[in-house]
Amino acid sequence: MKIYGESKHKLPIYSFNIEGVHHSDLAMLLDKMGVAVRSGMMCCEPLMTRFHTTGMVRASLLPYNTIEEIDLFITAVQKAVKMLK
Amino acid sequence: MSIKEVEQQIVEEFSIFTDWLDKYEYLIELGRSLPIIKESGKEDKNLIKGCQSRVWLAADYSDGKIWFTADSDAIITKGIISLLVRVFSGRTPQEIIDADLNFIKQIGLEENLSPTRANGLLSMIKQIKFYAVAFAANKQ
Repeated sequence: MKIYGESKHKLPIYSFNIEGVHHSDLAMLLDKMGVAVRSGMMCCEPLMTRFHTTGMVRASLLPYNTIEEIDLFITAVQKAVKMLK
Repeated sequence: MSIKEVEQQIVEEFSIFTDWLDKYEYLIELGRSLPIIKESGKEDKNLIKGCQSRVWLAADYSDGKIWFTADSDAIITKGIISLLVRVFSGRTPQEIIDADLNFIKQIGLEENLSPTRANGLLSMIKQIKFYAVAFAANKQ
């Protein structure tokens, strides 16, 4: 998994890609598993060009998210990647 | 087999799965079997606008029928377009123009796609119909 953005005081907003998996495929399957993420160019084409990609998946955490939800997200990503690879 | 019969066959195939995740798994499987477009066909003129992922669709006309090949960088999109290729490839322009594509509604594809992907699906259909109209006009 490649996570974009390495600032020290990052907010818990993670944009990422997984090698061999298209961002929109991953987002679609996560959606079906009850995980809401954003995907694609995110209205930011120049930044995508800067990172040499056609898009990313973005998981954004907020104070109301629980540890269980993060675990569910990880399990869902693993399951989706298995389906797509 | 007529377009209607192929559509019915697809509806029956999808009705086996009750969970949408299983239907996606099937779409992924279909995507892997799509007749791939030649590398030379992956040019901008064959790129469909309105898709979140890149989709190339090429059409060849021979013996009065249109033959489609396609590819996409996203596997689920490839699965979706493989359904369209299966329904439309090897048909006359008029058959394509007259097709109402009920199977998309019947398998629930449109409402199970995100708005951007549903928009992409409509763009694919529009492009296929556009090819049919263009080849039909050329014939006259």
